[in-house]
Amino acid sequence: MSEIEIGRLLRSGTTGFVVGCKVNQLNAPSFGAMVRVPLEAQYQVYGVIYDIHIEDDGLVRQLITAQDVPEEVLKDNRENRNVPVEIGVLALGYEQGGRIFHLLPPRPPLSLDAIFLCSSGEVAHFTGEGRFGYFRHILRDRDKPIEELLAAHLYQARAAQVDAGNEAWYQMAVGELITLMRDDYQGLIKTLSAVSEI
Amino acid sequence: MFNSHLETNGNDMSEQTVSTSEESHKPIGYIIGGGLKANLQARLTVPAQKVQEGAFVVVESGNWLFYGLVTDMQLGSTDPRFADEQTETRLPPELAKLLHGQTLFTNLEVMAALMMEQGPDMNEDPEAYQTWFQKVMEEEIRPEPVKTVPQHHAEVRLAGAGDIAEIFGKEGEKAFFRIGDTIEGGHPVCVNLDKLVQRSSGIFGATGTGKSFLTRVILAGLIKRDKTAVLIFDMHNEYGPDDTASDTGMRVPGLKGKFPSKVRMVGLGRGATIRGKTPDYTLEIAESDIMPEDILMLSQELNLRETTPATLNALFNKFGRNWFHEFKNMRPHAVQEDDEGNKVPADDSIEAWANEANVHQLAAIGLHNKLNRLFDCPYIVENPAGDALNQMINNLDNGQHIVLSFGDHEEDLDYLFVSNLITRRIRDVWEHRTNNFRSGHQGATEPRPLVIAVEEAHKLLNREMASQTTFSTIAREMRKYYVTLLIIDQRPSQIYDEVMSQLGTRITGWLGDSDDIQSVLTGLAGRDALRGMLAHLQPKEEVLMLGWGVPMPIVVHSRRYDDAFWEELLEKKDRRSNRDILKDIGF
Amino acid sequence: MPVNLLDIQKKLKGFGAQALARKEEIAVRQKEVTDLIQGYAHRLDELKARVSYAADVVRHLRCALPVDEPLDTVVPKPPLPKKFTVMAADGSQINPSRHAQVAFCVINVGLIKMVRGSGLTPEIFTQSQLLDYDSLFTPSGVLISEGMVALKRDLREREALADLAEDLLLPAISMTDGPLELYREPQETREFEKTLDQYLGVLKRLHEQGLMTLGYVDKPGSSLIGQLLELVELSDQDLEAYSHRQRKFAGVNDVSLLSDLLVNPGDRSAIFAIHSETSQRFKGDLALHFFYLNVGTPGKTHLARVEIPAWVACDHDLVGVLQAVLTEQTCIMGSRPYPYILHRAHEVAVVTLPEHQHVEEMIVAEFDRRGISVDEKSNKQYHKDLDRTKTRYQG
Ligand SMILES: Nc1ncnc2c1ncn2[C@@H]1O[C@H](COP(=O)(O)OP(=O)(O)O)[C@@H](O)[C@H]1O
Ligand SMILES: [Mg+2]
Repeated sequence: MSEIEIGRLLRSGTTGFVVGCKVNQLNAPSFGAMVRVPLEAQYQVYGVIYDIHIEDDGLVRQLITAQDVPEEVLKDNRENRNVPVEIGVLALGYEQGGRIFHLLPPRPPLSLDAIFLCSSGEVAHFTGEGRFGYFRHILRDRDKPIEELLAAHLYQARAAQVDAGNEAWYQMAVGELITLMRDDYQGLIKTLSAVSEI
Repeated sequence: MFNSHLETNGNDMSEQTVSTSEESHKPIGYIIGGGLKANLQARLTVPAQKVQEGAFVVVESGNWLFYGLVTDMQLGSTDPRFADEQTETRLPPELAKLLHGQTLFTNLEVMAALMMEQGPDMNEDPEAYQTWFQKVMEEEIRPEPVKTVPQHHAEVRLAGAGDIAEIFGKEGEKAFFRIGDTIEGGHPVCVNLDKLVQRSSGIFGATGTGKSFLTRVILAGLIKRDKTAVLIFDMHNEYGPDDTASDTGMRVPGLKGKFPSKVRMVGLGRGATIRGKTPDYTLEIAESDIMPEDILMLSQELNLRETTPATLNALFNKFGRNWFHEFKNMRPHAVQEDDEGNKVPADDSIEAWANEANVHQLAAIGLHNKLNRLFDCPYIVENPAGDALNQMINNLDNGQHIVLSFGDHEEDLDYLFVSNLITRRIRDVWEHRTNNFRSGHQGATEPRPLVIAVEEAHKLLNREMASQTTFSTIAREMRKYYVTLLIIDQRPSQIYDEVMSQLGTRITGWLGDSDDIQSVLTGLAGRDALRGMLAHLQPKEEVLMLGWGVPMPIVVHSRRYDDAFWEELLEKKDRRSNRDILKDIGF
Repeated sequence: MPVNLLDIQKKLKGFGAQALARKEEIAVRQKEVTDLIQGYAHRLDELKARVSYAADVVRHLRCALPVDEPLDTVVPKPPLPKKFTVMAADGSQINPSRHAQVAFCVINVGLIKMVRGSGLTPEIFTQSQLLDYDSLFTPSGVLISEGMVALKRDLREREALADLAEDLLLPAISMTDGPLELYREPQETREFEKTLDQYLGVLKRLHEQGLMTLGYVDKPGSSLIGQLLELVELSDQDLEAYSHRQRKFAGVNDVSLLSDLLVNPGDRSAIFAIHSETSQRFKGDLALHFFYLNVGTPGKTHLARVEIPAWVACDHDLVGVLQAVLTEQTCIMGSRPYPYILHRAHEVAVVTLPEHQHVEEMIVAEFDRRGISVDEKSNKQYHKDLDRTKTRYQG
């Protein structure tokens, strides 16, 4: 199990949650990366990062008006300051008693639960289970940049699956996406265009 | 069918079935709609190029196998935009391929023809399987016409050698004779020779599509099988002697060379040679064998008048079987002086006879004029050297086959006259024997079935002639008197419909004329679908088999008629029958 | 509607008129003082003598005291050293409250240390101090006042700086928000005296460690210079009646006097000493001095008062460094000048409401464990706690 903690839970709901972290924790999580939140023994929630945003605050806004900002001040802001970085995570499923479910988690994570980045093995384990049921959750929310999200996710998951010796996964995944999206011409073409850049 | 079960058993079957089983058992699609009236619709799951119109497919649904033909293929898309946009220019090939795989598709139209009960799983219920298998072996379970439809999503696959054999029979078994191979997979397709000759059949196709070659194949098969006597009217000297293909310049072996003792080559007229070879014997026609109807049949050819029947009738009444001889020797316009010195018609003049017989003089003279062509025929003689006609009948009786070569007498008149006269004579003999046999006459044996092969059949069987020739009678009688026809023709539309509709088996190559296509399909179900298939046949060596004599229509790549064919037919041992193979592996 | 705007509207006109009149009055007085600055610019000894005379007559005298620079001195910003240390400390506190379940006080000090020119990430520290339970009560048994806590906090800030002052890269400057001078709550004289002694001790330590220290007063309202010049304007008789409640140049503050002088960013005024009652306690090297600094941008003057101890004030090189560093620090904040480092110390020090509650819960739990009964929260506090904004997860 990887132990790269990326932050702690700020707020959550059935379909997803928001993780807060410091800017200096920000080199680990990336858009489209998979995360997990261990909640209790044998139960953890899986999700994918769909949004990372760095909130501004008064100081940052003030610094912007300055002519130039010394390097030490820059570093101070990035590394010391609790500039809230909010990471939006979409729930993709959960693991219970060693079994992966591509269903929304029965219970969302709680405030201040620690969120970890999934290791390659965990990504392969989660995404290789079943028949891509978790795509549902990504496709549900048309407000999110799902094309980009899918492309980023496929990129990560493909690498993980190849590591796990499953070269065919990627083709099957794209195939499944096409099946799910083929009634949405625009969306599908956008997604494939994004995917084609990975 | 049972083949497929056996193959899964991993036993070493004949190479043929083993090599094709894998490919043919992969599904090519699944059923998405259709019905009994309309054809079945299937979604193709393999590249369209892997399937062609006319492909023989099998649909597995529950306990049933459905056999059918691909009659149409249509391009479709889940959204027209996927078809309109050339996404391959926007996406990497790999993605474009995946996208197209799911949004662009081909639908197959399948004309289901037969269905057959599948056996239970051999491993799950060996006993039930054994029972079922026994029934298949004893032909209690046979493919039957389609009476229901497969389920949605039932898998469609290309027929394997086993499927084809199940439907069309296994080569080397019983009367099954390989006539060619399926287009996809090249699995052997057989005809049941016994069934083929049980009713009259036809081989059609535009000139150069391979009719004569295919006829050679079939005739060779029939002769080899030796259950049926074959009489071939070889108008163009193609079947008896060795020949040279007009297009390729290759040597084409004749039947005589391959079956020297079985095939009698008969030349027309004394001293006839056929392609430089002396025939086994020659045929001369005795004047006394010519009946008025033989002449009437030539009405068109000789441009006879309406008065002809009356004249012929009078002749026959007067002279009986000598009418032809007598008439031939009458002299038109011959005069003699009577007692008063007046010029009157001579006693041997036509006029004299006409007066006496109360026949119109001019009609009689006109007929005589027109019959001059026959009177001049060298093969019509008063007293033939031997009774060649009888010899032919004897030959045919004795397990031999006859190729009657017309030699130099290649005119339609010769062909029509001779073939009809001989056919009439022979049929009379067969009818007589049949009646004797049926009525239980002492010593009467069952007549040997006879097939008469005629090229250019429309000349004998066109609408005008049909009522007069023996051929149409034979065609209509089916096998009542043990004689059937094998007609070979490039213009089926000119053959009398009633004859066409009687043809049991039709084997047709490409036809360009829609009337010809129409008439080949007379009286068959699913004509629309078949019409398209017919129109799309390759111009050579591809035929559509249909009709009563074949279990279901199928497009076949004709068996090649070449040295290899003969080698296989004559030298190779028969392929082992299923029964033998099964015995070997412990059933 | 909570406010009756009509009532307010009625008075609005008169209100505006009054303000205008007052402004005009002040402008007149300011002109007078400006003239005086010119007049006395170099008469420093006269002024010093006048202050020393007034000190005896006027109670609670508080004014600027010239040192050696003319009154209208303007010193432009010298160049910034290549490398230097700048530090800041700021404190926040949880005041003991009657309304809470238990009485407790936490002083939280945030510190930041930046070595400019090093490219290193500044270091950040927090020191949280739970005050002894005993020290929460005055001898008379009531809770200590918020002023007292503020005093302790000010002390803690400087102590924290002194604690960090080892092995510094020099020059090194430390700062806190507000004056260096401490103010006294009248009723807690004893405690104040004690705290002030400790405070002076810390300032001494800072001096020994060579860590310059300054108090940064943003938006100063003081009129120390005006008060100095009032002294020379008043006759000796008037001086006796003088009190800082009844002033001649009321409303004329130092910032408005110097704004026209210190026009360029980085300009500083002359350095003055402070004369006041408490400042008397800052003796010798620690004597309190101040100057004004234009921390604004070109065309937009913004003056801050900078308080420094005598040992810095007397060394014009040190003052130069301090002036340059402070100018840079305020510059970083762009359009709203304030020393960056101080702002950061403040950020670090702030005790958030959840943290406040968390600490309180810890203490209540400890009391429970020991069987000490705790009060109910007052209803007032209860409702205050409820009134928190929460954000809901919305995908
Ligand atoms: N079964 C066949 N085997 C070998 N060659 C064939 C076969 N069928 C057709 N051909 C080729 O096509 C040509 C035309 O065939 P043919 O039988 O003479 O046509 P048709 O009798 O229909 O006019 C032949 O000369 C031969 O080269
Ligand atoms: Mg031909």
